[in-house]
Amino acid sequence: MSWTLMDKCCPKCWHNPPSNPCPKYIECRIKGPLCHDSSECRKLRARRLNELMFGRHGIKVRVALASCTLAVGAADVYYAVQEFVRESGLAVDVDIVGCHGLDFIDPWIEVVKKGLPPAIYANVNPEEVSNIVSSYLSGDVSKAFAIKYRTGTAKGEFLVPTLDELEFWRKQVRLVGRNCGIINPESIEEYVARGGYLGLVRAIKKSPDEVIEEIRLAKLRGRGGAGFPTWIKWKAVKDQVSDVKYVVANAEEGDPSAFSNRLLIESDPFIVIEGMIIAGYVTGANKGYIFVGAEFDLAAERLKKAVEEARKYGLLGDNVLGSGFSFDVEVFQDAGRYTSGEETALLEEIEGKRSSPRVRPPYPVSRGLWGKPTVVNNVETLAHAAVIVREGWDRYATIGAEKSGGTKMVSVSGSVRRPGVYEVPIGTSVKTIIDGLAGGPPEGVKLKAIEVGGPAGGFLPASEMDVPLDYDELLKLGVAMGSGILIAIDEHKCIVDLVRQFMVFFVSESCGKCVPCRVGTREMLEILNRICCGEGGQEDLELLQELGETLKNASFCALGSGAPIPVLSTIRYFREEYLTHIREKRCPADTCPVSREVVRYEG
Amino acid sequence: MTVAGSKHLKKEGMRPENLVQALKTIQQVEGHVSPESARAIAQQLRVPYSEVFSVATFYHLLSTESLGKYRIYVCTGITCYIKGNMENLKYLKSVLGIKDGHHTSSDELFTVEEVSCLSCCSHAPVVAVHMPDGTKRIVGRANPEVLQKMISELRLLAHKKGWVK
Repeated sequence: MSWTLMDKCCPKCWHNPPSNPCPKYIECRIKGPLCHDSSECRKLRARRLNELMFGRHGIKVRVALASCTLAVGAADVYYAVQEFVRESGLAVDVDIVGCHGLDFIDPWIEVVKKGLPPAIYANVNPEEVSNIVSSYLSGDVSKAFAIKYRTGTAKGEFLVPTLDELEFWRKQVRLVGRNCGIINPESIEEYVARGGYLGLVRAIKKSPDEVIEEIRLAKLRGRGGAGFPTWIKWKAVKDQVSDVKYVVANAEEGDPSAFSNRLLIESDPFIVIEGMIIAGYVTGANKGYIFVGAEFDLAAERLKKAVEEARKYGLLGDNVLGSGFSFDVEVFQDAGRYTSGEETALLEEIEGKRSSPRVRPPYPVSRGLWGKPTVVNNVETLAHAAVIVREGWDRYATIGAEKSGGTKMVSVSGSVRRPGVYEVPIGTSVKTIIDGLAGGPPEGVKLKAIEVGGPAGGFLPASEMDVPLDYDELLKLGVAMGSGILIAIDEHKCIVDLVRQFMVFFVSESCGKCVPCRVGTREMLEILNRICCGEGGQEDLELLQELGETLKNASFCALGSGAPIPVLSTIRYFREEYLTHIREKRCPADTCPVSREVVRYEG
Repeated sequence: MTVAGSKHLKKEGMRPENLVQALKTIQQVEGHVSPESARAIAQQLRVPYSEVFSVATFYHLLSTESLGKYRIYVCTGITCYIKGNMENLKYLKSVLGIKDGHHTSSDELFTVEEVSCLSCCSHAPVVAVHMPDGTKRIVGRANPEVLQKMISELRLLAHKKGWVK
């Protein structure tokens, strides 16, 4: 391993983590050295910062490796880049980065050379790699998808947009996602070089109450779906008298079609850990768990590496940065169950049991993991906390809506031209996200509905797309923000069929603990099956509504009470489609069995 | 339980709270959680056998029945559903000769199951393959042509490794 910013610059450097913890350690890495005076060492650190940008020889190729890019062949692109470097004999550094969230350009690479504009190439084939890199190095960027800035030195650079000129980039406000697609997610050095862990440094200089006050003034609300004010949770745990407390980061992200947490962790695992350490410092917890979804192997792997690195440099462990506070983090991966995302159910799973929800109250803040006071926060919430403490609450609070500050990462998929993850201020209209950022539906296709918030969210008709993406505003229309999911549904899809598919999901995922959810979802599926097969009656709609209300009111946890939302919201907005199935025995989209020869559904 | 299995288990820790981790470990090492392994876990962790079985049958990534070498998960989340993954599911089952109500091919090489989301919705429809070594491959923009190629590659690898009966 070559020398990194995290290391001593010379024998005079006082910092030797984790043996002599110091609050100035992080600043000393990037602004320093601060522990001793040496112009040589200052130059060394500045040179290294430069190297991180352009590589050791002034040329660097970054390949985006995250689940999304890997799904469309990024591994082959990575091998092709390595092959090119080997064969050409050029002094080029090859590095990995996470993903910007602009999934429509996957697989993508970025090529940088000192003096040329950094260029991003989209939808790269392994065969094109050598051409792309060679022509870039010869000073021609005309084939790039976008460049980061202009230098006036490259051929074709005025024909290629800069990222900031692109509507879908400009309209985003990237706070928690600022490092996504920029840093190597396996290098703590790159995170620190971009100002990482300065939030923690600021936090430990303050009292826990001062940090809680900042979070309150920033109007941060939980990003997992419920939108609960984060400061109240933190204060509640801080005020508990207990020698053992826990912080649990929820990265289960079980809602189908949500992928922003996965992208955040895979691209910047450090910010989540930084947020957790801050939460631990504020609440007096000494142990944290990150609960990762069953399919998130890469995310878990990168988190584990980030935890190890943090331990190595004294950011986790005893006496974090000389604050006197000790904290450690463990990564726990789910064994696969939708209910595991519920805040008490995941505690059950960490304790080695089935992930069925617990009765609340007592809430986890008073009796959580192993019966001890526990903060359970979504990973994105923790990342926001790290941003707020680093940059101050005042700017953060001005972004977003009146009662809810900051931004939200939204996962946009379905019938849109530019699916991906976009970070937007809370309160941005659904229309802006779907049309402005995600590019609207493909040519010749019209949107019928937007599914908001995932399975427990609800369907919004295309005519209501002006609604702001905000916890309170969406609830007024009978849908929930959930974990920030937007699925564009075009006119060729049958709403009743989609709702039926959601119900299939709930039937298979109900943990079975309470009757309304276990039996209710099954009954609702029966009725939906009947309607899709053309055997439904007018009374079935009332029955669905009645059952739905029962589930909403009587289910044990939010998953059961969320299950009928797709049904209820579509009966409200798409009643006509149900009626066409029932009265005319016809499926307008021609997908349900009623329109075809198929007889029945299995099971 | 195999020797390898019990060795791994010891690393996980032996307290009741390690149950989920212990089951995941055995699933990984032995391919499924057999009744014998479940009993061994019950004894070693001092948890009732009924509870071990209850947990083992609760989670989707644990299985009490033996599975194919390759486990193929077809995403049926809404995005993949509207992008046509049900057709891919049907295609996979028919090309591998897996009958309705069954999940594993007769040569015990492939298990095909549905999964609720693989979190790569931008590239829907998505299919994931859990490889015998514990790694995962995610295949985006899946269609019968892509899947046919994938199956051929996996079969070739199985022949090389001598997994075919």
